Amino acid sequence: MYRYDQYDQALVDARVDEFRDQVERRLRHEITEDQFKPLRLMNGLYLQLHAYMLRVAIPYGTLSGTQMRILGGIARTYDRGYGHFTTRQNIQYNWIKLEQAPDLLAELAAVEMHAIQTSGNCIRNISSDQFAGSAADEVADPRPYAELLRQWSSFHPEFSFLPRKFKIAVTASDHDRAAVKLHDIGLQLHRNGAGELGFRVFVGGGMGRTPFIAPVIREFIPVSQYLSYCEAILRVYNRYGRRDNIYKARIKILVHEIGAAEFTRQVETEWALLEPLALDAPAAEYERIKAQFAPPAYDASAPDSIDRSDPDFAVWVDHNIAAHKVPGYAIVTISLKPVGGIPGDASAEQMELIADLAAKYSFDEIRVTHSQNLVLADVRKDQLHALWSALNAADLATPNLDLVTDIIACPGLDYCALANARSIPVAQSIALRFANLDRQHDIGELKIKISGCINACGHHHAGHIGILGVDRKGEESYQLSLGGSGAEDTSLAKILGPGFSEEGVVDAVEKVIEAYRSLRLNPEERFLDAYRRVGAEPFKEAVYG
Amino acid sequence: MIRLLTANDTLTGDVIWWTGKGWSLNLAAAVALGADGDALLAETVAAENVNDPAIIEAEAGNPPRPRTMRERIRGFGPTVRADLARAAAPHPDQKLAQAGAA
Amino acid sequence: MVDVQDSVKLAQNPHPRATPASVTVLRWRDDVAFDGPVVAFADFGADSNAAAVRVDPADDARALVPHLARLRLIEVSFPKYRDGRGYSAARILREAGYTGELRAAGDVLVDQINFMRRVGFDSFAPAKPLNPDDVAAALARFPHVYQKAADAAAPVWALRHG
Repeated sequence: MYRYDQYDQALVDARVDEFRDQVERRLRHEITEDQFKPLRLMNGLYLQLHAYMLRVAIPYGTLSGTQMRILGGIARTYDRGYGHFTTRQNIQYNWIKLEQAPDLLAELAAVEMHAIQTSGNCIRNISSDQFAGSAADEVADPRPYAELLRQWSSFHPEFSFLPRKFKIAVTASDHDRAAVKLHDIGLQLHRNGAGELGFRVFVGGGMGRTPFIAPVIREFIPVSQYLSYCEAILRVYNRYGRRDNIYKARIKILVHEIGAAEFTRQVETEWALLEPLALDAPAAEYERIKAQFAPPAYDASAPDSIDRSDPDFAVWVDHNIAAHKVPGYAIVTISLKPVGGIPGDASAEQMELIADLAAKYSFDEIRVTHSQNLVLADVRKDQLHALWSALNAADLATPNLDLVTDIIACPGLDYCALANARSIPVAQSIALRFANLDRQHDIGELKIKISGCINACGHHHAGHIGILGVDRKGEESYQLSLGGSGAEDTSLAKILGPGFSEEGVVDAVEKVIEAYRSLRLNPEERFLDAYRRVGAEPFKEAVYG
Repeated sequence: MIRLLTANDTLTGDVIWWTGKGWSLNLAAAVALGADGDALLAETVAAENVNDPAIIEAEAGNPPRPRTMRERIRGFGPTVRADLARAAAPHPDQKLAQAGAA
Repeated sequence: MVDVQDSVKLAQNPHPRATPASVTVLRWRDDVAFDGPVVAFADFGADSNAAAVRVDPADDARALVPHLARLRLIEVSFPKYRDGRGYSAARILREAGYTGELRAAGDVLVDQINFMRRVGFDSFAPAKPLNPDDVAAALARFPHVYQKAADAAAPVWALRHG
């Protein structure tokens, strides 16, 4: 993975100094909260319901065991013993004190981490495929390109006061594990007819109040020019994105209002002016970064079989292991969704354990997924059982990847000042209702996603079953939607009918699932495919009678 | 319904409640505002010593029970973490007692 | 109109002033400040004598490109610092070859000065006076830059690869 050189380190250190200075000015009342707020947001520090919340960047979801160990230590020292992994592959701490934030950031800087631009109207964390580097189906590792984007977008002088936040995702496979079409810019690495590497560029996807699937605005931009092309996109957005209404300020609204063709024309016109200015990094820089993502020292003699004689282990292998491109190795997903637990949360002890396991079993590297789980991407098959035993002892081996209890839930009203309703208790209730493993496996792939407000941080528009919590006359109410997908078959979930109470929505979900089981062609037909085949009517019937 | 003045401490982010004499972390210490409540809010906003001061409605009691779920969560803590409850426990909205720390 | 009698000429490291509150314009140029009228964008086309124009957030700075030769001063307004359109306006003008004075006016905080210098602003007329010490500290804070902009700073990748 990428390691800072002296320049990266100097910039992160300077940022800590700058923030320390800004905090001191705030505490001396030299600047008002109104003036301070955008500055602290650009360092990922929110004031939530209970305390300040700090969102630490985990660039494209990759971190080392050493870094994870520090994150655990921070949870213990500065927070209340745990952290929360988010749908953008970052980590959030919920109980931070402003006066300690500069020291916390200094500790992060010492291990090449930061909270730069994890909030505010600027370019946010670049997200990517959690299986990058190890997946058999990728064209090349997308992360060097994500790292280059990270650097380019950091402290960008022209794009730090955008109409709204800006999110970019990068993948390198036809199997979309990063929901690229639901981002402001989605970049899919692929080869053109001549075998050259470049990106398919999607612009204008997103969820929130008005979800959109991004159109392709350019089929191919060579890797040597994608930075300047992104510069053109951002400039058009900065100049023409709406600033009159925060719910209409994302680039998706601009693309939708002027149309993809006109938007593309404006970007191409701007890019024609920018391209000669040599804004793109030279090939040597790509090579320098790529070299840091070279494959680890795989053992060519690692046995390519798994001893499944332990039945609980075998169940976990069946669900939480994905195929690795190298024989003898496997990609492991660590579930942060124990049944009845809080999705995406990990204790300081769990983080430290995972750091140790990464060092021991996966070349000291960990990934965060946008589904709020963790991944060890390079585990020898003959070490899977030892790894599983250690995970199991720490409640980290729930064999439920992509099953009904592998729920995405935003923090919701229990934590978030923007929320209208709680989401975590709904996730817990659903998971407990379907706790039985056999029942989960029988249902098969079913992605439930829950948001506590219209901002859709729980990605409910992209849920096979999506749930949106709203405030209806002072009471929490939950809308059920079906048929969304954040994978390459991207679709937006559709509302099924009138909303439910917290208890009611759990019953409704169960009715939907029972309806699916009764009408599926066979147990192998996924919920999503069955829904697409038969439409909403049978489910409406089952839920509303 | 009574009215309470609440805010977040600038230094720590903690939820605080106006007691009549100062700010407390404990909802049970919050004082019911009188007719000068709006003036007090205006003064507090202008003084800029605390973040986001606001007047909220609550049912009288010991502790008072804020009318909205949001304010109850601010006052009592997250409903999903009994161990992180604030001073004015028990939480009226706690349900899943078995949902402990991750 | 800004009273350029009070403008302060600042070198790379501006010196602290005895009365920082009297600073109205911060300027990083060696030439004499233009003190003629600054014409509104809408009126600029019709006024062939105008040598200074104000660009508001919704104005298209590119429309000025054919007229850059006669412009001594372009003032880009920032009614609210969160509205970042002026940054693109500035950079567009510099990319098009404008070498006159490019001024950021209005809601300019010391925390924006660095970014504004990088996109090409060389003078500032902040609505609320800025402390020159704070400005100097802000400009000296970041030792490197990651990307090319309108200034002469070499991005880190140029330093890495010579």
